[in-house]
Amino acid sequence: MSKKKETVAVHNMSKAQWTWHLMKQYKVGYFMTIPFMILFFAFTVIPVFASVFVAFTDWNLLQTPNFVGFQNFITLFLNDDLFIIALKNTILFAVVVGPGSYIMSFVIAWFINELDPKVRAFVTLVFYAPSLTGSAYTIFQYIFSSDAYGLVNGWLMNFGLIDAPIRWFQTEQYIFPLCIIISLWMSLNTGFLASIAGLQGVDRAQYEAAAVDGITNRWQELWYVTLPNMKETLMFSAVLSITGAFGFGGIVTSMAGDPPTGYVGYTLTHHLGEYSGARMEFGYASAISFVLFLIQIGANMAINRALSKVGK
Amino acid sequence: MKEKTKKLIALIMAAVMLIGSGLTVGAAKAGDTENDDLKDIIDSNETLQTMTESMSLITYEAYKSKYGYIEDKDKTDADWGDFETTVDGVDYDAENTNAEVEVKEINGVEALVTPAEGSVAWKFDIPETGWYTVTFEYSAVDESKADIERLFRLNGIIPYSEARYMSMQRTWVYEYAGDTREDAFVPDVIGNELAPEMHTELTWETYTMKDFYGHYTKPLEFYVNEGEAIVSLQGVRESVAIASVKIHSVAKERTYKDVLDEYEEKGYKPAEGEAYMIEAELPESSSSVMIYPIYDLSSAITSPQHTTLIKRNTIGGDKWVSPGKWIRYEFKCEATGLYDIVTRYRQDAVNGMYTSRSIKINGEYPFEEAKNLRFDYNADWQVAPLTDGYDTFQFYFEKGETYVIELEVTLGNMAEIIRRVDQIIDNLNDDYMAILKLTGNDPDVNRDYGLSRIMPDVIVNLGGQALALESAVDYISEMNGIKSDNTATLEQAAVLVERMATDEAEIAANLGSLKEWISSLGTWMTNVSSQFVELDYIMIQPTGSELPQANASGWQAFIYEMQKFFASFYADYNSIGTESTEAGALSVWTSSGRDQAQIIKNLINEGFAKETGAAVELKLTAGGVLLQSILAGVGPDVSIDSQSPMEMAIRGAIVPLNKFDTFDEVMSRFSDSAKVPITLYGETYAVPTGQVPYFMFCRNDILSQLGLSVPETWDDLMSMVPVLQFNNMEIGMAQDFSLFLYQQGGSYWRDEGMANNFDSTLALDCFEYMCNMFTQYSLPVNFDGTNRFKTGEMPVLISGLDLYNTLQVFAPEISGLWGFYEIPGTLNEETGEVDHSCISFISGVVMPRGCANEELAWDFLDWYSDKDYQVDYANEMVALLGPSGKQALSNIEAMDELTWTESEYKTLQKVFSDTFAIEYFPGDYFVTRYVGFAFNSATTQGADPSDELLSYVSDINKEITRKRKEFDLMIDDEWSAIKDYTGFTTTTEWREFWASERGTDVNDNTAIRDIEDAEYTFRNWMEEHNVTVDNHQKWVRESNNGTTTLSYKEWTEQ
Repeated sequence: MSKKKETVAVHNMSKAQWTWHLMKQYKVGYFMTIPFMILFFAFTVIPVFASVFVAFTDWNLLQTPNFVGFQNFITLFLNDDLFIIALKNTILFAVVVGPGSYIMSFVIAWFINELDPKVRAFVTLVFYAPSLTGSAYTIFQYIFSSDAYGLVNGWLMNFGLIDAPIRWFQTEQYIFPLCIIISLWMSLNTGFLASIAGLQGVDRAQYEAAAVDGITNRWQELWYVTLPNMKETLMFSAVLSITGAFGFGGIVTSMAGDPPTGYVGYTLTHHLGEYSGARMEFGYASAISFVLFLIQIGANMAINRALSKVGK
Repeated sequence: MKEKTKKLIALIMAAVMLIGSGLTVGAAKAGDTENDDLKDIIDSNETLQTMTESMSLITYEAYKSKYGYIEDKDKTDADWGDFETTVDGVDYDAENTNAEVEVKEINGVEALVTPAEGSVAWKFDIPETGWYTVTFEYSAVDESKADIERLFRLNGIIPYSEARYMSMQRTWVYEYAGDTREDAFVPDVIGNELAPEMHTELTWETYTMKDFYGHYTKPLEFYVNEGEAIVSLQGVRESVAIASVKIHSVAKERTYKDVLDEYEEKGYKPAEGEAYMIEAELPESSSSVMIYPIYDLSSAITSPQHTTLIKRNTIGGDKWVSPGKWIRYEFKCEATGLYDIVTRYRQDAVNGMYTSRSIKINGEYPFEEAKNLRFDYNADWQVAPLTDGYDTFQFYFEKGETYVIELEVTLGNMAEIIRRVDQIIDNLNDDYMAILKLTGNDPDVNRDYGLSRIMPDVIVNLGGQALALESAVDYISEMNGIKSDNTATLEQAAVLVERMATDEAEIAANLGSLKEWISSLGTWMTNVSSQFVELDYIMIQPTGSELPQANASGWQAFIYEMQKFFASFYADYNSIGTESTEAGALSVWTSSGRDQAQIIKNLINEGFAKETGAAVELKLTAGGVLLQSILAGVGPDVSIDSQSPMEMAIRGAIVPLNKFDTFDEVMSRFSDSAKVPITLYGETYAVPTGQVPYFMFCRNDILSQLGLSVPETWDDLMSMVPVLQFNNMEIGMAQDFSLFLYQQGGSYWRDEGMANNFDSTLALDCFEYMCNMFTQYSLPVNFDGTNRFKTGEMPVLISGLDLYNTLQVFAPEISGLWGFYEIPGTLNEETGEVDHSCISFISGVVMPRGCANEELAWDFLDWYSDKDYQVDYANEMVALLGPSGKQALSNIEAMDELTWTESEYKTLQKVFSDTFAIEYFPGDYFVTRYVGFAFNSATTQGADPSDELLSYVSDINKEITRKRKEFDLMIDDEWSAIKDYTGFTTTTEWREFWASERGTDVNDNTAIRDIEDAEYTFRNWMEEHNVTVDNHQKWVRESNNGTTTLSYKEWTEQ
């Protein structure tokens, strides 16, 4: 494909013409992406735009929608207490779990990278397994069971620290911290694998060169050689973990119920689910999802800017 | 060392035996007097007391040792009796009979028809004291599906517990479409064979007293004194005709060796002729409507087989596992001589063990060993002549004669082992409970409880059980030739029990494991009692012929699998029955399991489709797609088991059903409460099918030991708590304060759902009462109820009926020790009555918007909710899932015909007639949510329950108002304004006023809803009279300040 069949004068063309020219030139490539593109448009792009439109209506899925202008957004920010709670919780989760899981992924990957390949493969599996199995966190339901026979309750009662079982996921002060711990445990996912791969991909010769150039410790090696080499991987992993943290909610639902007691740990995902599910107000739910979407885009841009400073 | 311990245990055992036999005699003596008191207990309701008494019936073993029974192997020729005396059914003993009997001729035999109520007696003259059994000649008298059940009494008392309960089976005859195998079954549109119809036939059968569970393979015998003997049957379920009653000795049976000798003597030779094949799926009759032809797709040579279509090619399997169920075949032979009976069968269910059948030829066991035919375990199909594991049997058949062979499920040699393990479980349970009472369920490992001092007998008994388990293992491995995971359960339990018996210090540490192992033993018993055999064909072939092929050869299997693989590209496996492309078919969606869908489909084909001639397309869909499909306009005509239909109904997506002619008739099948949650403002949107109330499950054995009785009211229940807690036990309570609220006449809602009613004193009191149960009485909030009920830690548990099903399967070791009752009630101080009403959760069938043929769809709903369908479905579920598949139906009449026992049925009837349900109103999800929040705060944060609930009242109301605005319903503020304007206090008054004013019906919803198409609604009225929320609030403020003294009406007019 790289061979040009005809020479054209680039400067004679408008931008659109040039694009069209390139598209013709690489038509086989475009042809091959068609199946994906069709699915991508049908199930991602169009719904996203459709939801923006729906956000301006009062659609309930079953009856003809009415156009209500910015009413949904006004209600959302000014007259919806739950939204504010959900937004606060979501941001709190994202701030703790997003960077937390990201840093953890990288640091653990960095440690593991030093191990013997066979041991490394095993340790990787151990760390990756929780997220591999998807709903492995339900093990915490057993560990933190509210029953007197739950593991933690059992231990605490045996040691005499408590005399009645604690209902971990129904007690407001425990829900939030427990959910954060669980999500951190679950967070060594694809980003973690990417980090390991990225570390493997760093050219060993560069370390020698850096040593010659006067690098004296591992931290400098990390900052000036390893990280700049892994920028793309870091980016990938960061986008995954931070946007993932905003979409957080599944763990809370399965551990503490939906909604959790007193709305502790109630996130935008729950709020979204509540309006599209229980209350069947799709217009409003779309408005929520649109806001969530904007937040995620904002977070992405912030990550981009932050990572561009790596190695400088 | 081990030898020494064993010797020690043996020594102790010997001592125990001595004490034990003394105890048995003592117990038997006590039993004597108790039995006299038992006479009438069954007549009265099954109260706890009668339960306890009937539990104290002695066992058959105890009975035998009490009256000196000689086991068969110890009998001399003189011990075998040959006495026999028969009384005709019609010559009953009128003096001791209180049932309304009548004489009727059935199949040319004059017989006495005994109804389902009352008892009938027959008098006998016994010349010599001895051991006898009783045989009845009976026939069904109608075509009902339920088994015939009776209680047996000899001389007015139930002699021992095994002889108490009789279940006489009906004869079910198969109706085939044609005479040959090819056209025996009616195919559906695609060509899949449908199961044949079956009907009960009134035939004369005999019933010889036997153990209901099949734990004894011989007839039950009774020690009858010389002189007069009265046999009586008390009705439990269904009528039955009795032709004769016979008291007779159990005769010694011929052994196979005797039979062989006879063959030789008479010079019988192997027959010279062709083998005769009986397709097992084509029996003449069987004892259960659930034993219908099934299909096997796994083997290429199962006869007949097809690559894509379902051929009904086998019978039995999991539908033919409980002792006493039989299947009959008829055949004729071409030549006279000796034959082998060869079966192609599969027994892949009970690993490492064999299952058993008995065979009767023309109604007689040909020899003793025929009672214990052995079907070995193998994952594949097997072909083998009938055998008891030692001999393969030959049978003599004559040319041209018609022979009837009957195969019946029996426990065979396993019966003895199962009996022993049953006894071991009972003993271990007693030991466990004894230890539990001292140590609690979480014993301190490091503490010396002094068990050997306090309860030496328990420890000695444990040792005895360990030995008993070991001997059971030896016996099984000897019988089966191998050890398997099935013997491993017993072995491991034995090791644990032995350890606990020999080292007292191990008891506390292993108490939890003991509990687990008792349960495993129970499960083991259920597993090995289930006598699975799936039959493909029965081959009557001349002795000495070669056996047919058991499994497909590699090549045959390969061809078959390849054909199936290629067929999978075009065959339609999804639509069940009728073709999915058929235009005008009624489309019905269900999201239940595939088995359930298959049952529904079969019943539709047999019932609705036949009756109406309409095509029905049943689709199995994932849950939660109904909404989307209605939205897309491709929804079904009828949706079975749909979730939250009301949320869709209020948005106009469900067709209201009141408009159909037979609506009232259909609804009369259900209790009044079943309608409540599916009705909104006078419109009903679903036909109820399932109704799930709470029940109170009680461990009767524990309660009677502690001297407690089944609690009548909540206060009774709470007064049990100290006693239970003292014994380290607790109560499992449902967290549902509606139970208290509705029993006292309260409600969640006020003013037709305009606001919640939680700020009423009654609601707050009830909520506080419930929270106190969990805080002050420290009832557990989270618990695994089933497990704790099973172990006895939680002898009282409020739970749904699913617990019943779970316990049937999961806890066989405590079967008979528990019962279920109405939930406790609230005493009404004025009337002195106790209100037991209980919340119930309703599921229903709906007709979504866009239904193409509403009349037909309504006919379907009518048929679906009808008694006949519901009974058939429930019975099929029991056949599919076993006793764990029992259903609680919302159709009240249908409940009567299910397999519940009389006492269970009585409880169910009481509970179902006394249910309530919580009304649906927009915003109801907020109600349950905030009640949950308040409960959690009260129980985890120690907050005051009333304060917590009150703090949420306005939040809930806010959401209700928001939702009501969405649907243009009258909101609470508008209602306050109207109330103040008109002076009405209830919405009923307002509706009446509206009806008289507007000349409409009282149920006209324009009174509370601003319906879009209506020309005049309450909003117009408010506008006309200048009644608005704003000016009402202004007036309220002003009148509170004292600025105005005018009434609201005067104020607005001003």
